[in-house]
Parts: sequence; C-alpha cells; structure tokens
Amino acid sequence: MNLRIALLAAFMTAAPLVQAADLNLADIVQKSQMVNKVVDSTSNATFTLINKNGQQRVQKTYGVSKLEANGVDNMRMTRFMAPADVKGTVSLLIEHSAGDDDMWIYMPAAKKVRRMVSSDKRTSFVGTDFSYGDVIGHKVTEWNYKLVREEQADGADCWVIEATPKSDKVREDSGYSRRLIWIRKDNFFAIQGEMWDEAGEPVKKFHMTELKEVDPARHKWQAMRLESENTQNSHKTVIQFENYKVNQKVRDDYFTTRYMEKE
Amino acid sequence: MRGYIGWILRYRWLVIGLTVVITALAISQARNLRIVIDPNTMLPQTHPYVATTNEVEKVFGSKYIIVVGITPKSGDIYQPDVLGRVQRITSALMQTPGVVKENLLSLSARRAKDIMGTPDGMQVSPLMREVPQTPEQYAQLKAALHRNPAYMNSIVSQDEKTAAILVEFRDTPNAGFRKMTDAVNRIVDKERSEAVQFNIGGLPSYLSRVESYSERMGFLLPIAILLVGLILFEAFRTFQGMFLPLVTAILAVAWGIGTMGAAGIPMDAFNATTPILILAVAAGHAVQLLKRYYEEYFRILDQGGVTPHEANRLAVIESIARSGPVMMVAGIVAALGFFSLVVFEITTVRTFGIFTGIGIVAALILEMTFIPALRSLIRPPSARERNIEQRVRVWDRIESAIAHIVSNHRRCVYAGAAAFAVAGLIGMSMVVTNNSSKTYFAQDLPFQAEDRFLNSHLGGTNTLALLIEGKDQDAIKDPKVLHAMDDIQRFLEQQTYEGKPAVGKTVSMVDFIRRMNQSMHGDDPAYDRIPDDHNLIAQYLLLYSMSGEPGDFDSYVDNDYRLANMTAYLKTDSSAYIESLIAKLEPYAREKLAGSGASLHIGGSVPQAAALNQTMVHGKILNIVQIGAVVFIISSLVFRSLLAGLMVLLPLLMAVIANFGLMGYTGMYLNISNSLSSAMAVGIGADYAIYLIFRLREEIANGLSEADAVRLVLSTAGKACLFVAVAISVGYGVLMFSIGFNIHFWLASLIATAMMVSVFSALFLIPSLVLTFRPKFVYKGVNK
Repeated sequence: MNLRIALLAAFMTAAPLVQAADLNLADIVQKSQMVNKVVDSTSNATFTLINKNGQQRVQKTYGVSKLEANGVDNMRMTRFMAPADVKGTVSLLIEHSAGDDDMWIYMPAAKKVRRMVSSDKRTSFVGTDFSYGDVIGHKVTEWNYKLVREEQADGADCWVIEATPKSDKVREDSGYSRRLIWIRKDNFFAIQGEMWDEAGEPVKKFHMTELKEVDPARHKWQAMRLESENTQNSHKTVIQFENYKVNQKVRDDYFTTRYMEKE
Repeated sequence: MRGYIGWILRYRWLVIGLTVVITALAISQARNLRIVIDPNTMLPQTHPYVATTNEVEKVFGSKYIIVVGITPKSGDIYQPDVLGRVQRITSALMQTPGVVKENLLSLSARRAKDIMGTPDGMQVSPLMREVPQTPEQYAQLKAALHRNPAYMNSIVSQDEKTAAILVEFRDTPNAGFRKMTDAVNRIVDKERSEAVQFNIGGLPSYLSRVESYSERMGFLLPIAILLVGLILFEAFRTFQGMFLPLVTAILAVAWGIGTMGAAGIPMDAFNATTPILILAVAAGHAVQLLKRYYEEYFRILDQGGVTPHEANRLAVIESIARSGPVMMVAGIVAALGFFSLVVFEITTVRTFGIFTGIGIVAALILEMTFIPALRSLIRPPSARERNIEQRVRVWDRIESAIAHIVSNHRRCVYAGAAAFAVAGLIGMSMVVTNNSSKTYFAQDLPFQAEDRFLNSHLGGTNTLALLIEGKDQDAIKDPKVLHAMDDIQRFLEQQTYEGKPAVGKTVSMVDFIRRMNQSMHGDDPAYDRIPDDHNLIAQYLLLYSMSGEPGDFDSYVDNDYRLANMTAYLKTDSSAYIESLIAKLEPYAREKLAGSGASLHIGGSVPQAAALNQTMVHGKILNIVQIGAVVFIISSLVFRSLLAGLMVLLPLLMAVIANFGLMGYTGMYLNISNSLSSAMAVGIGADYAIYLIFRLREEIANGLSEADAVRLVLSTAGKACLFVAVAISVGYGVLMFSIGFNIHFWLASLIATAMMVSVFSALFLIPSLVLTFRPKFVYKGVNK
C-alpha cells in the first residue's frame, strides 16, 4: 500500500521517493522469502525430473525440516524411498546463509556417512532444476529491485519485481544477471520467476502452485507443487508435496549424522 | 514422322513460343528448388551403423562438433594467454545461436566438473570457475585435470600444451555448414594473437568446405560450356554447329531443374555435377541430328532443282525422320536406366536418377520440336561453310583409320579390346573404397594441416560411437554391464593402426563412476574401478547429482539409464581400418556383455563412412549393373536380338572398366562422388552404339557394300560421336584446374576417360562385331 502511494508520488515528483520505493521492494522480497519458512515440517515429496525428450525419472522422498535459531536457515533431512536402488539414502543439509552450507550423505550400500562440499549457491539443488540459491533464497541486500509492472497471475494480484545483482560477484555466485519475480500481494508468496543467465540469456522459469496456508497463526504458506524449467536445455523438475505438516515438534537430533545411519 | 515434322515447321513460331514459355516457367519453378546439403541424404538410413548413429544423436547429441585448439607459442596451457581465451571463447559460444549449450565442453564449461576426494567425502565442483590468477590456483587446476582423466586428450592435450573447446551445433542441415564455421571463426578471430596458435577442425569444418568448393561449379560450369562450344565450332566450323547443341543442352538442364523444383524433389550439393551429364547427353543427341542435317542438306542441294531455302526445309524433315527415331530409342534407353535408380535407398542416388532422366527426356522433346523449328529459321550453311566442313581434317583421318582397321584388322581390334579390358579389370581389383571427407581436398591446404594438428595432439578427430543398450531401465547401473563397458574401452585403447595407437581417447559413464569410487575412498588408486554393487553405483550417481547439474551426464547415459553412449576418438578415418576393427570388436563385446542382457550397437562418423562404403560396394556397383541391365533389355527388345543388347552394352562396360581401372591404378578412392561419375559413364556410353548400329543398318539396307557402309557410317555418325566425346572431355577437363578440390579433379579425369573409352570402343567394336557376326538385326533390310 505504501508502495502504491510511493509510486504515485514518484510519477508526480522526483528521485528521493524512488528510493523509498526501492526500500519497500526489498521489504516485499524479504517478506516473500520468509513466508514459507515454517518452524518445522514433515512431508512426502515426489521429484519428477523430465529431460528434453520428455523422459521422466521419479524419486520419492520423506523429508523433515526445522528452522534454526536465527529464523532464516533451515536444517533439512531427506530420506529417499524410491527408486529401490537408492532407498535408504539420506541427505542432511544444514544451511548457513552466512557461509557455505554443510551437507552429508548416508549411502546404505557403503554403510557410511560422507560429507559433500557444496561449492556454490548456483549449482543444482539435489540434482533438480532449482539451484541452491533458488531454494534457500538469494540474499536480499545483494540485489537491486525495480517494479516492472503489476498484474494478475494465477488469479491473484502480483507485483512483478525485477532483481539485478549489485556486484559482479553476486552475479557470478548466483549465476543470474537478472531475475523477474511475481509476488502475490495478498500473502507475499513468490509464485512465478524467470531468470537470465550471466550472459544475459533467458535460462529458467519457475511456477509454484497449489498454495496452502500451512500455519495460519504465523501466516506461513507453502506451495504443494513446484515446477522449474531450464529453458536452455529443456530440462524440467516437478516437486509435488504430500502430507505436508508443520509444527510437528521435530527434535534437533533428527539432524545429526548419527541419526542418518539409523534403519 | 515426315508429316509430324512438317507440322512442327508449319507452326514453328508457335513451337518456339511454347518453348520459350515452358522455359520461362521452368526457370520460375527453379526458384522453388530446395537445395539440401544434408550429408544424411547420402547415407543408407536402414544400415545398422547409420541407424545407431541417428539413435545416438537423438538421445545424446554429438554429430556436428567443431574442435577449436589453442596452443601457446611457448609454454603450456597454464597461462592467462591460453585460459583467458578458452573462457572468453566458451562464453561467446554459449551465446551463439545454434550451439547446443549443454554439450559445450571446455575447461570453463559448466559441465566440466572436478570430482575430488576429501578426507571425509567427495567434492564436485567446476574445473575452472574463473581464470586462475595465482600460482596456487594454476597448481589446483593442474591437479584437478590430473585426477580427472576424462578430460585428458579431449579438452587438454596429453602434453598440456593445447587446450581445446568442443562445440556442438544443432542439426540444421539446410542452413549450411558455413553458418557453423563462420560463427566459430568470428569468435576465434577476435582472439587471434602472436602469443597463441589456433587450430580448428571437426566434421562441419570439412562439410563447410565441400559447400564452398562446390560453388566453384558456378563459374567452372560456364567455362566448361564455353569450351564445349568452342570444340563444336572447331568441328562444324559454323555458328549453328556451335550454338544449337548448346541451346539444347542448356534448355534441357533448365527444364530438368524446373521440373525438380515444381515436383518438390530436393536437390543436393552432391548432385551439383549432374548438369554435366545432362549437358553431355543432350549435346550428344544434338550433334548427331545436326550432323545428319548437314548430310541431308547437301545431298538434297546436290540433287538440284530446289532453292537453298527449300533444301533447308527438306533437310530438317529428312534428318529428323531418319535420326529422330534413333535418338528416341537411345534417349529412352538411357532415361529408363536412370529412372530405374528410384529404387535406391540413398536419397542422393534417387535424385541423381530422377534429375538425369528428366534432363534426357527434356533434351529429346527439344530436339523433336524446338530445334527443328529454330533450324528452319536459320540461314542454311553456305558453300564456303560446306567446303570448310568437308575439308579432310583430323576428325576424318581418325575415322578413316578406324574404318581401315575395322575392315582389315579385326583380330587386332578384339585383341586390343580384350587386353584393355583385362588391364582395366586388374586395376579394378586394386580399387580402395574410402569415404573420408578429408581426401576430398588436397593435403597441403591449411585446414587439412589444422585437422592433422588436432588429430595428433588430442584424442582424434574421428569418432566411433558405441551404444550400449540394456534390456530395462537402470541396466547401465548393473556392474556387469559397466565392467563390460570398461573392458571394451581398454580393448579399444590397445588397438593399433600402422604401428601407432589407433584410439586416442575413449569416454563413457565408466570413467565417472570409477572416478567417484576412487574419490569416495580418499582418492586411493586401488578404488579406481567399477564397484560390484548395483546399489552403490546408483547411490554414487545420486550423490553426484546433488552437486552436479541435471544435464551433466546427458551425453553419456539416457534418462532411464537404459542406454549408454561410449565414444572412441580415432586417429584415422580409414573406413577399411574401421571395418577390421569392428570385426574384432563385435565378438569381443558380445563375449563381455554375455549374460548381462545388454547389447552393443556401432555408429559414429567413421562407421558411417564404412556404411557408405558397404552400400556403395554392393549398392553402387549394383546401381551401375542395374542401368546396364535396363540398357541391355531395352536394346535387345528394340532390335529383337540379344546380340544387339550386348553390342550396345559393350562400350558402356568398357567405359566402366576403364573408370574403375583408372581408380585402381592411380589410387583414386571409390567414394560417393567417383561412383556417381562412373554411373554417368554408363549413361553416356550407350548412345554412341545405338546411333552407329542404326546407321549401319540404314546404309546396308541402302545397298552399300560392307566396307563402304562402315566407312560412310564412321565418317558421318561416327564423326559426330567423336565431336561430342572430345567436346565433353575437354569441356570438363577445365575442372582439373579446380585447385585443391579433389572431387572436381576426379570428376574431370573420370568423365574424360569414360567419354574417350566409350566413344572409341563404340567406333572400333560396333562395326567390327557387325562385320564378324553379320547379325540379322543389321542385315534384315538386305533380304528384302
């Protein structure tokens, strides 16, 4: 609402108010990144990876997440249920928004927990067409924002916000030179995205649907269906959540390497 | 027939007008002609090597790869002069339309990953995120390359003095290969400097040259036509003698192209030389009719009582009435022979058959309509021209010498022909089939040297694609299959060609799984092997996928892990060698894969060439045999004699033997281009014999003695044959000067050889055989 007034003012007056608009846009983006950070969750997920020839590979997982004390980073434990040859494989991801994340994998065939070093935020998130940055969220303060337009998407009023990296380093680390985000005005959920690669070529499209207010008390929302498509190689990922539950009083010892080896 | 020609002459303006309209229509339709420069049109699509290559391309991509090598003038690749260029060229190529981004491979490409063991696990990261700045960073890159052998000899040479960028282009055949090479050159040219040397190679680099060198035909063809005209002028010494055969030939080519355009039959670059054949055949018929017209004109004039104008009209009628049916027979025989090629599987051969057939039919129609109409309008030859034409010159001396030999020394003729045939057959046995596109060009051309450089410094610029097909999903994760693939790779790497390793590099999923197994065991070399547990392999792959990109392995395995692609880079593109290699590889792979349910299929650039060889050895020869058979059958039917069929076939056989003999003795390869030339020889050879046989029959029926008939026929129809053969040989001799482009050189020598051999075979053998066997089909008129 502030934004509209600011915009109206910006049309009539001068620069200082545009800065005010900037501030508010960053705010909106920040809110959109927090809207799906639930206290904890348990869920079943089906990952469908589709290549350019339309061939599919399906993985089923059971996942548990818990927000860390800082309220930003998540701990995520994912157990693979199918296909059979990877059943029992567990991944544990401890996000560190300040630095490199920690990731461990338990491989039942080797009966060992192995540590993975995830080198950067631009690489694929567990083999999907989402990058770590896309899933965990790009640091709000590192990007410049601009309101491109306001429009309806999936029947909801949205701000269409353009984000551009403030520095070359941010561009290189994220792999993006430009992002367009559709953020719903009613609940701040980012329901669509389009990305351009470092060379300025379109590279990805996201679409989040089947939105559910999973924690009405805290105004937390989650999309039950997440789609991402790499438009350069026509590879596509669809993540479908089921039995998504929040506030399950998930214990911290779920997120230890010791626990991964169990069963 | 006389009534028909009379009708044509009465309505000559209408005939000429119609011809102009049809020609204009043909030219307008020629704009609809689709020109396809797709090498696939040359390939037998159902051949297993070709089918596999297509399958590999569909699932994995990888046919049109350009290799850019960067070598510093001093030192190794670990310097900003080299790596900076690799990075800039890679990122520029990423933004180039047509480039398959996900298959781009270089040190800075996203999918080039360093798999490294760490004390408590594994790290997967890009090989070179940015150009190293410090000695430590260079050392890191070097170490990464050393621990990931998959990249050695593909994007970095063994001596680490050359870095390479492998860029794949989407298959858009009709856009042309120059579009690919131009795009790469534009980017590379910006990076050229004194400090580094660039070498560019790969299949598109050759195919783009085939395109540009083939375009020389655009100016060589007119020169050839001009030379043909000059020779004809020297032969007839009249403007008419030079002009009319060329008009027929050029219009026939135009009609042929127009019909192809209107019917939507695509033309391909490999048929760029086909107009020559039409030109040769059309000119051949035109010269025969023209020569006959001269004879008749002076005969009628000498009888007296008619004006030159009337004599002209009568001569036109008489010449067509007598030679027209002969031409129709000869033309239809040849056209049917060519049309019969539509049964062939290779598109380019079908196009060749249809195009030539249409061209010949067009020439027949023109000679029966437009040319007589036009000739009746042209001033008849003057007495002066007649004197020049009838002066005894070299042509006549040759013909009378032949007549003398045929009448008096027939045994020598047969002995000579037999000796020639035997010599030709011996040469034929030495013919080597090889479809290497590298042999199309002179060895000393710069791009040949660039390809040789890349070939010797990297794995090899020729590929063998091995497709492993499992029964079910995840078959490729089966340790049995992976072990077999591993063994096959090692087997290939041990092969030698001319004493040196034949395979410079093999790459497959095996390399990555071995590498992961090793890095998960703290880089212990003892674990540089395929694990024996299917689940462990699956879990490694899942693990990799968590830090790699979804498309990283797309060029090695399909989505279902049912198909795996193994690539072997070969130093040689000899299709003979590859056939011997495949003969060894197939039983080896069968044994290794036994019990796994998986099977091996072979494809790739070199096997495709081998496939082409196989279809050519069996198919192209068959194709020549087929035209020959059609010629034989129709000639036998026309003359109602098998002997006649054989006689027509003989000069054509001699021409084919001579062509193959020439290939054998000179080491010229039998390839698609040269086999087309040989098929041309078959088409041209029959005409001479048919004209000679008909004329002999006519003159013997007129009551001439055998010796006189032979002398007369050789000095008239025979002389016309010689004119045509010499004109076409000399005209196409001009292609010998297409410097650096062997295809043109070969074509010139083969066409000239075929022309000369078939004309002299016909001139010597047809009269000799007639005199020896006195066949009924020649002598039947005598009995009346």
